[in-house]
Amino acid sequence: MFDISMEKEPALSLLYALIAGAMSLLCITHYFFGHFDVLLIQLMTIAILIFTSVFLFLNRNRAMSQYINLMTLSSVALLMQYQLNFNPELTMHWVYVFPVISYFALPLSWAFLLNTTVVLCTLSQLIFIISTEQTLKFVFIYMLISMCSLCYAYVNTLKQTNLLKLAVTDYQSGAYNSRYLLKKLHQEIARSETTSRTLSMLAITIDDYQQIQDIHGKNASNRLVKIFRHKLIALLRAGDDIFHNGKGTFFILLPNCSMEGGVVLKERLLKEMEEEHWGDVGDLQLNVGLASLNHKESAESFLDRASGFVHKQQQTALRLMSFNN
Amino acid sequence: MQALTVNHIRILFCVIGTVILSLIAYLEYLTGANTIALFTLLLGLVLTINGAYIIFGKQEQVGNHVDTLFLILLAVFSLFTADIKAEHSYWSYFFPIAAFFLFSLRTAIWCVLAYTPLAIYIFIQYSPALIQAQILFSYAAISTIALFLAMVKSRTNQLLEPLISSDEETGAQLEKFLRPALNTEINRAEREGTGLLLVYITYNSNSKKGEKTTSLAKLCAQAIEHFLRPFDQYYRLQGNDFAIIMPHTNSHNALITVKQMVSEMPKSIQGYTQVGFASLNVGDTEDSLIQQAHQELKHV
Repeated sequence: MFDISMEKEPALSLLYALIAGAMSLLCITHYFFGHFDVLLIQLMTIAILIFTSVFLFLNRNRAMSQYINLMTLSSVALLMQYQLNFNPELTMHWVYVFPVISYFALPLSWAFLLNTTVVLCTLSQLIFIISTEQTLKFVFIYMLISMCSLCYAYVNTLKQTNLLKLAVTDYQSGAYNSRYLLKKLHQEIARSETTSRTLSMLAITIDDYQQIQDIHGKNASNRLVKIFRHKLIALLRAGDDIFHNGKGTFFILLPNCSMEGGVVLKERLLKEMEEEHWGDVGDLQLNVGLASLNHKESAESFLDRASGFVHKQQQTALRLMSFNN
Repeated sequence: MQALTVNHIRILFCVIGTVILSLIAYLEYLTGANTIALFTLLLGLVLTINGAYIIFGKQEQVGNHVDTLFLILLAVFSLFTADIKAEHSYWSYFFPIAAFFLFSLRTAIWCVLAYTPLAIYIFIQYSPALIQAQILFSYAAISTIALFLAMVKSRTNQLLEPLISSDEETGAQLEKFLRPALNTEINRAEREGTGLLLVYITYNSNSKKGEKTTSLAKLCAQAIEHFLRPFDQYYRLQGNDFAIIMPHTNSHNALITVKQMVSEMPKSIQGYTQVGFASLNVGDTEDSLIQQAHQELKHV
């Protein structure tokens, strides 16, 4: 029970909708108690929350969502400040919700700035409306809630950043990621130097990967790289590692494999892959670069060399194509 | 500047929280609400104890008990203050935040579910009718946001955890990767005709009295890592066990390295540390190597 989880964007969209819903119920009680001024302000808040909820539900651009969240919360904060004039006791309870939602919806620095502004503005208003003790108590309580939310959000961000740093797998293809490639290269180069054995690397780029993503969508391109990786595994020796940089380029580390062995493997790979059918994507154009480790060569330069060969081949292929056209 | 760790944040939270709670207690005292002032101070005291345990605590379980004590005290305090003075209902808003901050999603949901009916009863009984709905709304909103935040966190962790290969505490590789890596190394060693050794290291858990299990494991991992070659791999197994895959090594060289590792480990566990070796032979599999290394365990 309670094994629930949710992505942030839909969660925020649902959250705004729920708050708007609960606020509508609150408005009914305000109506019965005759808080008409507060009612009007809260109706405006509901309209803003509903707009944001729908926008976040439909929008797919994450950068844009952040700005919309900032605009929404700034507007809500402004309305809160306005509402303070009419009914401070009631509004203070609404203001306590603000730090929790802002640290959830916004990046930490933005939320911190917004909360500081809100507490200063509220303080400057309350000091003239209620007693000093009550004002101070409000500020302390607000600071406490704000600090709890900040710490909670910071710890979450910290944990996620740590987990991301520890991740070695590319989620699209299931192959190892670029960060792990560099670590593994360092290990293999050290091993190759100790044992005096050769080390080669194949770099394979799927031509127009970006275009495939744009035309067929992210899910289709993720499926493609996943299948591509499985095909590669079937063609390689047990223990050869495959890496994906998340942009359609695969790297294959070939320990104890000479340049000649690498060339044979490259030809075999190209032949097998050409015969494959890739569904809606059609035929795949592959560019392959092969590099063998030089004496005393660093991991970075080895990687650059292999990537450089692919890039060169890609340019040559493009030139040939334009010539043919 | 080095980023703050989770423990730094918790300590900072305890310090600032205690200061703010003391100030609130003083304000309550000034207004004549002595009982509330006393309770607020008590809450600050528990927060201080919590911070002290994080700094000096030897056993992690005690820290968890302090968290539980804090939450129980917060529940009692928030209900009690709302009961005495309706304007103090805001203390209830802290309960869901603290529950989701201190405990796992599942435990926190149970805690909030248990607390909510009591809170609602107190709000309805003792709050003025004019602000009753507003207090209920604020409590519901804060609880929902805290729940959503925990749910998003849970999802991110669920997605990230399978992508991780190393243990967050020690930096060693995770146990689930030992067998695939050993399989790869066996294939390579057989193909290239080279040696392969698996080392199994364990220390007796009885020796850890008064010391944090995690910090001991961390120190052991540091000692192991210090003497490894760049291409050796070490794994943290269940409990206090570590496994090391050492390609291109014979038993003699491995024994020298392992003795150096043990001498670098904390003094309190050196006498309790046992080591087992398994060298690759024809027909060996990853399971047989692990089993052999485990059977060979002895003091070095």
